[in-house]
Amino acid sequence: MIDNLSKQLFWISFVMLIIIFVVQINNGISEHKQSQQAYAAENPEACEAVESFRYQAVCYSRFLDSGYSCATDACYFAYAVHIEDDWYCDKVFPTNVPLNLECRVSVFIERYTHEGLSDCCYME
Amino acid sequence: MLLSIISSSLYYNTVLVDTQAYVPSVYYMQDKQLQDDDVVRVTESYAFKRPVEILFATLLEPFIGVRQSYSLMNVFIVITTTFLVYFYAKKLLKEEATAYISAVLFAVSLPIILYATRVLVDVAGYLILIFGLLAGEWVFDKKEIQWYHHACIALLFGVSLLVRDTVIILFPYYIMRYVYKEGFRKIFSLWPLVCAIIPQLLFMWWFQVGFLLSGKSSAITAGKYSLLGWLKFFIVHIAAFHILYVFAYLGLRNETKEICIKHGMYAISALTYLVGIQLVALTSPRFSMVLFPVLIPLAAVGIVHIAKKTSRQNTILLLCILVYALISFLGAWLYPAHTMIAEDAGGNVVIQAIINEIQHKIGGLL
Repeated sequence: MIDNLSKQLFWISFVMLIIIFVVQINNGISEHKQSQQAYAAENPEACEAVESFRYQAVCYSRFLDSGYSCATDACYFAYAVHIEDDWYCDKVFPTNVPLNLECRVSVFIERYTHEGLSDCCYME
Repeated sequence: MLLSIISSSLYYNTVLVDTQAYVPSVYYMQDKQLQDDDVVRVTESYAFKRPVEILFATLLEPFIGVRQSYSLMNVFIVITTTFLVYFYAKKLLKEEATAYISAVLFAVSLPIILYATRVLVDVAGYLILIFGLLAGEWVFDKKEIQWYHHACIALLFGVSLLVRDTVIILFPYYIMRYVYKEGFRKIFSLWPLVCAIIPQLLFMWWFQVGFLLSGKSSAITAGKYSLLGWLKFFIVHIAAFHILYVFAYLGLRNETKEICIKHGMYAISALTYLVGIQLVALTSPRFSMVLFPVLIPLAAVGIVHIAKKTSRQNTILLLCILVYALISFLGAWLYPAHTMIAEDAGGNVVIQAIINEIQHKIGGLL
């Protein structure tokens, strides 16, 4: 009884894992393109065209030093990380729970490693 | 193992409220110069009283970053725990099929999908529970239990307290099991168990953090005692295992008296813990998961019992597992993530948050 069941479950989970793996690779390729797009942007307006929230924030972060004033969530996020202020996250994302938490955690990481945006924004 | 990896992938590396304490805790342990408010965030947090996984994350952080350190470790812990569930169920039920199904059911449980590989340490709590139970079985298999067996258990439970406080459940369970086996007259030979508190005391003294429950008294509010508070308690704990309760009930009806007594002792200990959690912290499916050593083997017995009554045993087994997995994945996907639910919120707030989440996710799809 158990031999058949384990074989069937093995193949079901194996196929699912392959699908997840292919989707992840696709996402990785698309993220890589977006990161290139983000780093190539020469003006902040071009950042809005970046699809991934993380790379949109990375894109905006490069213009914050020159005094660019934000108008999008990704830019506010990047600004909060830039000034390393978790209270600012509460101010700009008071009701958006996942974004608020991501923002605060990224601020903490930025404070001690300066890598706040490098592994952020895995939002449900 | 493959199923554990699939379950681990849905919420891998995502954050929750507690992550805000786990992340700076790593930098604190690395002896970095923390801002004053971050020091308070660490030392006054409940999370820092579970330093073992934080310590491992501290060692890994320079190589893969703080978030990946926790998440990747948690993937390995889920896989290990799944294997241990198999061994525990096999030891308890002495049957290959039920042990295998138990491990599969564990791997596709809603709390595992929803919380195991986030930047948290909850899954380590499940690992120490199952490891503690196996260690307990090792002691109770002895013909004559000596004081040094209790001392080994005390050491294990003591170190486990520094991993996750869920191990508290195992103290009354172990005492009940011992009394059941040896009778009341030998209860004083359990004295080495008192030493289990020593690692926690040493840690609290060394890092000057408060006692295990310090700060939690402020969380005890009237809302938790209200009917709506208890409605939340039932909604959350029932949602965590959904149809598994039905399978477990069927399993219970087909189990031997001896195993029912063992399960009963664990269930009493775990339910006491869950009621305690309801009063001093938030109620969440990640706490309901402490019931798994009882519910999952019983459900496996129930599923095998259903299958044996039909001519197509294999199809029925597979169907039961797939239905359970499907509900778990769907439940995990629709679990409220966009609404902050207060610790003392009532069941009505949870229902509203679920409706909002369904609108958000299904609406997003359409």
